[in-house]
Amino acid sequence: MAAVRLAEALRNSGDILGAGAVLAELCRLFPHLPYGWRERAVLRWRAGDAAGAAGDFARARAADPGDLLTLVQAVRQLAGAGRLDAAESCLADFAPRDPAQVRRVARLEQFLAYLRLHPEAEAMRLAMAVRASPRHLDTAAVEARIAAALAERRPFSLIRLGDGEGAWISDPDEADGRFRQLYRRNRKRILRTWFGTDALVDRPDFLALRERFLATIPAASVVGVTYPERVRHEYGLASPDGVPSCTNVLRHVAPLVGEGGPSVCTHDIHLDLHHAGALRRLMAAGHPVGLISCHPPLAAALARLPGIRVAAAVLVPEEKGFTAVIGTTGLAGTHYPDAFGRVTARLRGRDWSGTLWLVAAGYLGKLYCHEIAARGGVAVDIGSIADAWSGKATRPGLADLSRYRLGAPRPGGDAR
Amino acid sequence: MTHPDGHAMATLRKSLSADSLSATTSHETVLHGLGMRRPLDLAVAVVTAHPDDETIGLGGVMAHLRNLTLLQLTDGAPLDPAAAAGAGFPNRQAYAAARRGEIVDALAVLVEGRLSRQVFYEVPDGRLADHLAGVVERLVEDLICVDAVLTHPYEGGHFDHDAAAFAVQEACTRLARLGGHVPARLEFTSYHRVGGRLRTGRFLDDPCAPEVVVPLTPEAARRKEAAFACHRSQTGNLGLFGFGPERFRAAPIYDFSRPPPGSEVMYGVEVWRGLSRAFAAATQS
Repeated sequence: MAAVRLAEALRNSGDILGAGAVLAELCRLFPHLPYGWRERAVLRWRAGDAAGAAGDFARARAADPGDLLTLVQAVRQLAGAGRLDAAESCLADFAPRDPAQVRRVARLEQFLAYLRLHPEAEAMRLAMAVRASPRHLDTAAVEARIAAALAERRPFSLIRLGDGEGAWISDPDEADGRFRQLYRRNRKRILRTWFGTDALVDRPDFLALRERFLATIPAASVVGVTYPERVRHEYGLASPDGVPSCTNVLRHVAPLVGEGGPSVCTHDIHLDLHHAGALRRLMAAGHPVGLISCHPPLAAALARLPGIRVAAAVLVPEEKGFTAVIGTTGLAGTHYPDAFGRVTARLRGRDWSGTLWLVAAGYLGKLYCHEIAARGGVAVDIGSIADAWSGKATRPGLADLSRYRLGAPRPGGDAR
Repeated sequence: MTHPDGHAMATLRKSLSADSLSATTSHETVLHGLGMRRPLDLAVAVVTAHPDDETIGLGGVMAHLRNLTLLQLTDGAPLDPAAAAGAGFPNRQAYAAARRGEIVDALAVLVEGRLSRQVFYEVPDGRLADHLAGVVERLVEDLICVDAVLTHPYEGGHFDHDAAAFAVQEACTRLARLGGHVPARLEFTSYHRVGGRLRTGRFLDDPCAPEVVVPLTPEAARRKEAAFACHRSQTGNLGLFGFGPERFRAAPIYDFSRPPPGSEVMYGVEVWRGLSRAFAAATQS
């Protein structure tokens, strides 16, 4: 096990050759144990060697046919390589030993069924249709739309639909409940990240909130969705949460675009707007700025920057999956239900015409954007940018925090 | 020591009266809501010098504040080991921990734990004046997030109370200078001395600062009495405060370079002079 951990550490630090050497030696010395084969398979899978990975997974499974983790990874690797028949066969050979394994196998079966019904080609077609749509906006166009809405004091809402939103767009009753367990597991997983518990998964009030969330999508001015490169990534990994989330977002949004609904952009638009210096320019354009985030010092930090007038700031509890990174905020309870009612009441108390609201509040943030736009304001879902501005790397993409310093605006350039 | 002259006070007044329309509205809304004992959805911060000041000043109405942030400036334990020993604790840390436990219990009674946010600044009791620069900066960060702030009046009763009044006014002045949101500044009562007599539950008389008087309902009095009982280490001090009406008002713009008008400084003129120097040092020109 020490050798496996060493190999993992080497792999995670980018020393693929070093990790490979450790695992090759492990497989040579202990060919009867599954660990070396499995880890080498993962290494090969990530390196794009599908055939080699499948071979090593087969050796790992032969060494311990009852190992669930090996099974799951082997099935996902085969599915990610487009070999659904082999993946199903691999799964059919497995004999679950307890109810937990039965449930896990059932979810994998549902995932493979999902991949059959919604193959990568379909998701890619939808993603390309969205990208090629005349309603698709690039970063400069999104900035221009926001600026125009502010100048004309028109309501505007930009919301982004990522994995978490995808899990709640996915409908467990779809196709006669054929993917129910898979979808429920994905919902529970994201609820634990958001609120530290999955107790809300069946609560009527939270399910009713989903209806309100779905209503925000066609009502939004611009919706950020998955893009083709992300589709390839998720299908390549055969991610049981990533694939249904991104595909179901596309299945939900693509018809709206065709019907003349909201404009669209990528769900990474918040990062693009930051790197292009657009957020800084918009904030410094003289319009009052509102902020919803879980970072108590951030509003004052923005207010101290030249040209930014912070007119309102609302704090929400942090996503519990990131508490360790974000640190103590003094905010009591969870975002839902504890803070949600308070925030909504506060947003409903004013007319926000001409105010630029930056909203970093996850799934519930889409509802806040809707409330702000309903009161004449301009709401932009900035997501994890607020974390990065606060020096908190909550996502892998934010690892280089030096790229996210709040600085002076540069015309048409990077915000640094 | 810098004493604000007439021009400086005028500038201060101007920046604080830039308190925007929203702050004016918040003043009225909060005072009206408290007076009518109506639930308030506005985000309200209560800034107190010590654990128990919130119970004394607004224990009867806190339950109506549905979006309440409590900013506790000191930990309630003086640096002098004799204070902890006198209260029956082995050291300052144990005393501070006990006082934190007491306020948690009191808030459970007063607002049934329904607090949006609670922040402990953890300055030692009696030393707020030594930490004003940092406290004011933190208050700028915390108060930009609320619609209104309630704190102690400047009245010469306790130097930490007066330092809290200064810190809140200075933080709001800085927010006003930044040109954005400034919360409405309001006050609850603490204590002071007039004519040689201690007076609790009242403000120093100021005809320019009308008060809202809120008699306690039987339920509010019961809650307040139960919360007093939670502050177990302060039983002796709390005996000075009764269960009369609670009073609130919009905070005047104070001139902290002068002693509180109309009051005798209970902590002594020499201490006040030191406090005044600390205020001057922490005032951003």
